[in-house]
Amino acid sequence: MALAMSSPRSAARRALRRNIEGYLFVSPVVLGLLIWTLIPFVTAFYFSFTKYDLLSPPIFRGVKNYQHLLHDPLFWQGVKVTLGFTAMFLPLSIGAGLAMALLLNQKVRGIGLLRTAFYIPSIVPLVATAVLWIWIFDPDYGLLNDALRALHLPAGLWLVDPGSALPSLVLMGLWGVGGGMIVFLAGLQGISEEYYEAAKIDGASAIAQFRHVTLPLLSSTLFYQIVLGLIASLQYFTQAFILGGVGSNMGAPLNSTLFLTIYTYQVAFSYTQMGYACAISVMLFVMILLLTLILFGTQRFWVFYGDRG
Amino acid sequence: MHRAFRSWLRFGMAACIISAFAALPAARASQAAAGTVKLTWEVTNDTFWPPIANIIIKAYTKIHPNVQIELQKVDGTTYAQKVLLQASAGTLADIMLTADAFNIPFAARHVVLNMQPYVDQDPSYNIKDIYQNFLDLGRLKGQSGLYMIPVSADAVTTFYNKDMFKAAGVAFPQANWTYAQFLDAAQKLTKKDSSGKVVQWGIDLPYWWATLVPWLEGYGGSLLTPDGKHLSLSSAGSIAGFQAIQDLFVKYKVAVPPTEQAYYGKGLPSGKAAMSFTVHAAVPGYAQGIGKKFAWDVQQMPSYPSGRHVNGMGAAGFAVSDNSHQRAAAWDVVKYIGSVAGQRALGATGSNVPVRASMINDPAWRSYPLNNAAFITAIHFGITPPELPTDEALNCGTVYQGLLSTLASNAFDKIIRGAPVASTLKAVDGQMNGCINSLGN
Repeated sequence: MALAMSSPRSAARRALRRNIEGYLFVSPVVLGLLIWTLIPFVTAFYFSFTKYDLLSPPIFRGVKNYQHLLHDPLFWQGVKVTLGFTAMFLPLSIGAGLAMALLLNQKVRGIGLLRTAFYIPSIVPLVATAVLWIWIFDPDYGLLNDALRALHLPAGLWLVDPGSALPSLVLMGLWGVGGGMIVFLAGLQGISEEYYEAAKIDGASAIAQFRHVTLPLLSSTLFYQIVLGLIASLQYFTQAFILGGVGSNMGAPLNSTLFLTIYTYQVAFSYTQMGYACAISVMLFVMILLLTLILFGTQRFWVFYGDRG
Repeated sequence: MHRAFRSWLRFGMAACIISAFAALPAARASQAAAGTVKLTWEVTNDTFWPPIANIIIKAYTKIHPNVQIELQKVDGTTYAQKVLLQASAGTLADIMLTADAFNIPFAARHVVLNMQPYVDQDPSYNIKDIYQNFLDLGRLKGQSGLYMIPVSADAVTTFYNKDMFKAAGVAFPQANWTYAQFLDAAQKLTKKDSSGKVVQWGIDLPYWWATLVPWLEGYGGSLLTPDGKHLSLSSAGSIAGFQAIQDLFVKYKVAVPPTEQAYYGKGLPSGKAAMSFTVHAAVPGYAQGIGKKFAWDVQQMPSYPSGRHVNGMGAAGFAVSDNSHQRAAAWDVVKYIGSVAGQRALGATGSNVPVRASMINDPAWRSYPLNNAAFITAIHFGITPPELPTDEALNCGTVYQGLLSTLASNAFDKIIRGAPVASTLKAVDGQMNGCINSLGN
C-alpha cells in the first residue's frame, strides 16, 4: 500500500539522496586523485613546455625542452641507469619473492615465525634501510666485505666503484622482497590442493607440478607483481638519493646511479629548471606507460584468469 | 538536540573569529608599546652556524634590548633549494645566511635585498675596510648591487700533520715552498704495509673548485676563457693542471683515492693523510676532532711550476631577505655582523678570519696556536670563484651548483680514477659550451 502510494517524484528524490550519499563516500578518493595526482600531472605537462625557475613567471618555449633532452647525455645516462636497474632488479626480486613464498608455503612447525622474519625487512623504512646498507657495503669496515674476507673471497668496492654501484643497489633492493613474498604466498594458498592431488595421480613430478599447476594458477598474481615491480623500479628514488649523496655528487660514483628520478630532482631543485625537470618526468611517465602497455599486451599469452574459464 | 548543538557551534565559530580579529591589533599595540622588534634569522642546521648566530644574537641584543631575534634552522645540504622554495612561498626569514656559493641564485632571483642603498646612507660603516675581493663576492657580475655582507675571509691553505712529517724526516712546509718540494714530501709521507697496501697517504685532495682551479691556473690554465663567457678546461694549461692532479692519484699514488670512502675528504683529521687543503673555518672542528692525537699546523699553498702562488678563496655572509617587512632593522643586524664588534665576537669563536683589513692583527681571531699568518698571506694570493655572466650561470651553473658543478666534479672523479685527461675535458667543454650557446636560441 505504501509503495503504491509513493509518487514518482519521491522515488526520484530517494534515488538522488542515495546517489549523493554514494558520491560523498567516494569523494575523498576522487578528490585525492584529482588534487594530488591529476592536477599536478596536467600542471607538470604544461610546465614541461616552459622555462620556469620557481621565482619568475613561466615562459612558454614550445618543445625546446624536449629537443634539448635528445642531446642531453645526462638524460640518456639516466635512461640507461633506470632501465639497467629495472632489467636486473625486476626478475631477481620476482624470482626471489616467488622462491621464498614456495619455501614458506609449507606446513611445518614455526612457519609463522619464519614468514614474519622474512617479511619484517620489507616494512623497515627505506631511509633506515639505506643507512644500514651504507655500513654493510663499506669497503673497509662493512659486514659484507668482512664476511667475504672470512671466506677467503675477494672483497668488493660496492657503492664506491662505478662498476659495482648499480648491482649493489639491486642487492640492497632484494632485502625488501618480503613484501612480494607475502602476495605470492597468498596466491599460492589460493590454489586448491585438488589440482596437485590430480597431478600426482597422473604421475607429475614436483617440477612438473610447479610448471603445469602452480605457475598457470599463479600467473595473475605474477602479472600483478611484475606490473607493480616494473613501475616501482622505474620510479626508484629514495635509496639512490641517500646513497648517491646530494648536490653535484648526485648519482655518484660517476653517474652510475643517476636514475631518471634523481636527475629530475637534480634539475628541478639544484639547477632550479622546473620546466626541464617536468619534461624529464613526462618522458619517464611515457616510458612507464609504454612498458606497462607492452606488458598488458602480453598477458593474453601467459596469464590465466580462472574465472574467465 | 541538533538545534542546540548547531547553536553552540555557531556561537563558538563567531567567538573564534571575533577573538582572532581582536587579538591582532592588541598584539600589534602591545608590541608597539614596548617598542619590541621581532626578527627571524635563517641559518643552516649544523654544528657551525647556530652557535655562531647565537653568539651574535646575544651580543647584538645586549646593545639593542628592544630587538628579539628568533633563529630558524634549515637543513644545510639542501639549503639553497629550501630558500628558493621559501622565497617562492614568501616565507623567508628577515635575515639570511648566504655565501659566494648562493650569491648568483639568491641575488639574481631577488631572494635577498640589494643592501647597497643602506651602505650608501651610512658612511660611518667604513665598508672600504672590508677586503674588496670578498665584498665583490656579494655582487653580480658587472652590477653595483650588494647582496651579501661577507663575514669570513676564507682562503685555502695547507693543513699538515706535524707528527707525520717528523716521523718521515721531512721538513715542515715553509712559506716559500715549491710544488717539487710538495710532491717530494707527499711521496715520502705515503706509507705502505708489508702487503703493499697504502696505510698512510701524503695528501687528501677531494673535488673542490677552490683547490682544482688554482691547480689549473698554477699550470697556466683556467676554468673559463679570458672573456669569462665559455669553459676552457681543454686548453693546454688546464690539461697540464689536471694531468698533475691525476699523477698524484694514479702515477705517484700519494693521494687518498675516492674508493677509500672512510678517508677520502677526511684524510687529515682521521690521521690517514699528512696534508689537506682547506680554510680557517675548519680550525675549530679540526681542533675538537683531533684533540691531542697529533700536532698539526698550517702553511700557505706551495708555488706551482709556473712559479705562481695561487689558492682559492670565498666567503659566507649574511643578507636581508627581499621578503622582509622590517628591512631597516634586519640590515642593522647584518651590518653589526660585519662591523668590527661583530667580527670580534665571531673571531672569538675561532671560526673566521675577519673580513676587515684593519683586523689582521686583532688577537680575537688568533686564539689557536697556529701559523695564522698563512691565512692572511693566502688572502693576497687568493682567487675567488670564476663566474660565467649571470644569465649563463643561472642556466648552466656555477662552480658550486648546476651543470657546471656536476660536469666539473664528474670530470675530476673520472680523471683521478685514470680516465684520459684531454678527451674527458674536451667532452666537458663541449657539453658546457653547448648549454651556454643554446641560451641565445
